[in-house]
Amino acid sequence: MHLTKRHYLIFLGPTLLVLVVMVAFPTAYVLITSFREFNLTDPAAGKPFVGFENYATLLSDPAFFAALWKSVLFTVASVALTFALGMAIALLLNRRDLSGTGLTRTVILVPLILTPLVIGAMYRFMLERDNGIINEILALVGLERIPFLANSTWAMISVILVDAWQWTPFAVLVLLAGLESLPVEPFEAARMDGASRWGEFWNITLPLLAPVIAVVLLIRTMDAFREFDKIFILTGGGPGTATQTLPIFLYRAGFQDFNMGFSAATGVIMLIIVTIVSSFYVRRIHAAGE
Amino acid sequence: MKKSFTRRDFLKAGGGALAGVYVLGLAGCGGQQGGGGPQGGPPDRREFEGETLSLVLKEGYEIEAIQKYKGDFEQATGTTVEIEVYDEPTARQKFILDSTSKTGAYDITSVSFWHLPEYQRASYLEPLDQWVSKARDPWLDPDAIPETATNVMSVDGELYALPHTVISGMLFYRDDLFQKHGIKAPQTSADVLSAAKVLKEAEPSISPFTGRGAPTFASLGTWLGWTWGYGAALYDDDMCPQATDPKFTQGMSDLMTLMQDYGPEDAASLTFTQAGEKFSGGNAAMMFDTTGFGGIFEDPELSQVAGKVGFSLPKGPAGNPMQWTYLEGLGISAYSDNKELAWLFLQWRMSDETTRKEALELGRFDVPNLNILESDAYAKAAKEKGLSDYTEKLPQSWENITLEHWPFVPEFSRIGDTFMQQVSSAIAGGQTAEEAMKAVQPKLESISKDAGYCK
Repeated sequence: MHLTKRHYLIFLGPTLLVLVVMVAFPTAYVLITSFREFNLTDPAAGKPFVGFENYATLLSDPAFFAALWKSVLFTVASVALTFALGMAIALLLNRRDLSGTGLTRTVILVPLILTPLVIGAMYRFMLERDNGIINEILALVGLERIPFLANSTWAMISVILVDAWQWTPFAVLVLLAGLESLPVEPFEAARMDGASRWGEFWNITLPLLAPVIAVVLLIRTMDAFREFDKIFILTGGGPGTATQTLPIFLYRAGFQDFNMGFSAATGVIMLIIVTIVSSFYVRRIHAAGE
Repeated sequence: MKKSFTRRDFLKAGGGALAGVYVLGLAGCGGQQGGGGPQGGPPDRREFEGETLSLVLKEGYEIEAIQKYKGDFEQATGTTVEIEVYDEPTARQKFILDSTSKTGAYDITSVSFWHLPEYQRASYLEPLDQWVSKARDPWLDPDAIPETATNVMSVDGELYALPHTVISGMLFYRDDLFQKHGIKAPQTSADVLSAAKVLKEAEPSISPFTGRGAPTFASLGTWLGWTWGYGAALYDDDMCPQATDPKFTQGMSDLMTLMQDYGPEDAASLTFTQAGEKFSGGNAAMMFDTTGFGGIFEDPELSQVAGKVGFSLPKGPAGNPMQWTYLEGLGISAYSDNKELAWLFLQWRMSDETTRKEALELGRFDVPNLNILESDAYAKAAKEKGLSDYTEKLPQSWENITLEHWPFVPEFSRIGDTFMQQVSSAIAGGQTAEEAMKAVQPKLESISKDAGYCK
């Protein structure tokens, strides 16, 4: 069949429309808004164009850099923990000599199925100092109760652990699929040469799995950097601003102060950061593929 | 000749789609402020038969009466009342987004007094004075509403919401523990501190004190109300912040001591619900908060300390009664197409018949209707519940209400969040009040300057 320009337009049209409506239009609108002074609770002031003023305010606000640091800390810690645990569990599940791996593969998906809001609400109760089950267990074994969500250090540790709990199964799934697709010949050759398990893992498994690892790290990094629901429900960004990551900072500016111009600028900065980090991973994936 | 689909063609197609979306978006916009003011004279209650009223309300005990008795209104008027209930931030977001899009999806909204300046500046609410003077239904007796309440729900002398919650500051304490250890009922801030010290040693399993420490504006009332007792306010008359003022810092320091040294370990994250649960669950011996908790703490179905609670209205070193100013009411959206019906609903809500049932059947003894508070049936019911001491103090607590210490400006949310984030950090991190106030002062100055205050 001879395809003309019209055919291409018909086939691509719906996709283009979705892309424009769902991606390009909102992104362009946010970008334009970031150059305006725009507060929803002050309609009389209009939406005057203020150039880069919102960006200047943002980049001179210590609270922005504090939130950025919290985001980096949360992302690095959560991604590292998710990857480490995910890899360990995937390696275990990949072993043919262990029983019960089939059931484990199913059960392990439970955290992934739950919505972040439900997880946040659930852990908020579980981590509560006086009535939460985790503190009840601690008290039962003679340990002191811990104010998980009311102590600055513990609050950050708690949100990192909860996030890792939810997303480790994702890492397990992807890494396990990668492990199962690896060729067996290099491993057989290594065993014949007397390589240790650690040697096999470090010199064969990791390099062969590099593209898959990069995909896991890429997706997890993007997700962790923009994590909002669980942190909002668990701590609201507190105590104080101990867990105020950039998404929480943006939410406060946009939906508590209704300062849309400022929060749009924050969103654009977040987009730039995620794009830079993602392009690093994508280049790594391409390089590994070659 | 075969023509290929080039990048230029792709961009044209995308641009066409974008233009189409833009046009569709414009078509969806619209809306303007709803129908005009009162037509004159009280409306016939059946005039709106068949109409539907939409309410967006903030959750809280004050809406229980609306949910339970709305059938009375529906029967009297032949209308339907649809209610959406959310937590405060969500209810506020929904109302603001509805108002900015001018769709008038909601006719009536909950109005917390601290958001009034913001709503008034944006013209989101219908002014009510003309409705009170020209379209009053017998349901409404304006003299039955405490005057301080209508004053607070007004901006520049214009009323914007009928108040159905009037709350002031009160100290709740475990009378049984105080009597057990020979501690007198606290009447001053110094009494509270000294009682806390005694209780810490005498009752090690209970926190001597609890209060709000969560890093949001909803906690601000505790801290500003407490420091008002020291004759200090966070802002001066020109809206210049004075967080480092010695009197203000002293007040903050005493309350910080109570929260850090005598409060629960998770004091830095306590919301009003959580702080209240500490007290009602028997895990705290004193709580400084709003009068609204009185009925809850003495209800055996809701509290483990019912029958053991004492109430006092403490003063600070300056002789000022400690505040916890909070008022909430119902307002009419400026974009409502059912303003006359909405106004009828507001009047029904504050009617003697509705508030009487609210007090006597639902047990809400702080209902702000002076006709009900002065009635024999109310006094009898309060006595039966062991709340006579509480109800006798209520009118005085309402008279104590002042806004002199309050940042009653559109930027309140940002001020409250900024201040409480610092306070919460200080409680959690062991900072002193002086350090916290030094850190927050420049942030508050920045907010004032951005808003054009403090020139």
